[in-house]
Amino acid sequence: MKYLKITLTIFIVTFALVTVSASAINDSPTVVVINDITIPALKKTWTSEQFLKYNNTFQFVKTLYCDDNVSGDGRAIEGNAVSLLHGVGSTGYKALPKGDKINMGEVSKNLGNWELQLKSKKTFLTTASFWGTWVVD
Amino acid sequence: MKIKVYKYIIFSFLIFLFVTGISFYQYFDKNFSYAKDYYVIKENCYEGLNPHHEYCEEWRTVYKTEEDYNTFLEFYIEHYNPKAVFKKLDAITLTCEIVENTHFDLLQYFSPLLIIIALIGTIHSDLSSGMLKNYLLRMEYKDYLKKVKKIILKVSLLTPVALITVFVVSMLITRFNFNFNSIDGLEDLAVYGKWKYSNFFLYGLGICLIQFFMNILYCNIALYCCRDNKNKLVAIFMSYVIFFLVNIFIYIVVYSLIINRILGFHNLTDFFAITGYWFFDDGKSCLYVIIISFILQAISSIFISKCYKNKEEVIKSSENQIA
Repeated sequence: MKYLKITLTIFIVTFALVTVSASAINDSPTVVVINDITIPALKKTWTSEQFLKYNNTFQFVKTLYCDDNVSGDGRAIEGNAVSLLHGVGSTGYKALPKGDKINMGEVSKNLGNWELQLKSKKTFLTTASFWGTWVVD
Repeated sequence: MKIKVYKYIIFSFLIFLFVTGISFYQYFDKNFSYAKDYYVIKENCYEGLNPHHEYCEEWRTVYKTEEDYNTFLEFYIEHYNPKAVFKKLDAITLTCEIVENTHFDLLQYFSPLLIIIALIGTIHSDLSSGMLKNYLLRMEYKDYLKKVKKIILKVSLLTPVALITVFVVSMLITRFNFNFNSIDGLEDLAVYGKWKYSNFFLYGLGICLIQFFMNILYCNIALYCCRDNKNKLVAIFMSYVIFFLVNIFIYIVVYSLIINRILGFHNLTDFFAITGYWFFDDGKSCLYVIIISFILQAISSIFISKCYKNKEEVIKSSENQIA
């Protein structure tokens, strides 16, 4: 009986804590890892899934690698974060040099659903492979 | 009369203008489409005309507390005013955005076709209709070749004129605003290049020169196909295929497979992707490409002058087309 009461108490406390954190602001960062996606040829755009931003913080994009699939050369990439909230628009295309964590600007601080678009800076006949991260929150 | 003679050149130029127009529309539609929503939000959510408008409710679900909602609404109204954002836009940034990030970049693969159409449309009938023999009764063959060269030079100016048009329209739209430092986050913009922005007129001249030389190359390809193809459309098609094959050969075979993989020289993509000769970030790349494009047009000009050197062979080709 004693152990049943202790177990029940722990369960109720845990349940209460879970319920509280479910409605709180998300304190843990939303980092989208973008692994080995194909940047299309002819300057077409790759678009990510939508991610929900909870906090009023800047978004960042970092390119780890982006290599041409034929020559193996590094490929210059541009990124544009697009808000799906009415009236916000997008950050505009920013250069994403390899190794740099790029701040997507004031517009990127808005909450709501976002998607990321990536494309080559120049028009090539060949595709490229991209690895990087996108810090949404 | 002159309009009839140059109708294909005029046609190609009108297509360039059309693409330019579409590009400006696309830029403003992409970057200022939020303006409509801004005024709806300002009227209904900020000024209180209809606080329960769907946009206001959408914002409330995102900014969960009323305090956050009001704070961001204030910030939004102040910093997202489309008129204020538009006022900050400068001529250099607008020109670069149009050339690099709109449908204008279709011209990277499409402009050679327009140049080929302009040239073949203008001179093919001389060869296919037998008019060449009539011309040669009244002028020397070398004078006829000079006439063709003048047409090539005129056609080669189409792309530089299109680029200058983009710049002039950008200047008019931004009311000659060259103060690019007022743009937020300028250095992170994809189109920004320190040398490019500081020496924009020199940069623009370089790009126009590169495009002029590349257009001479495309005209020479078209001239080569003109000689032995009776049908204008076939000549145009063959010319474009040859351009495409030259492009693939230079980038994939010469650079990617030989120079890059076998010889081990890397990061020279900018110089071997000939369709990418429309914009650069630094002066050094621009200068090297001016030299490369000059060499390419010089090689093609030497080749075409050998093809057209023998007057009798050219007349024979023309007669074969009539037969």
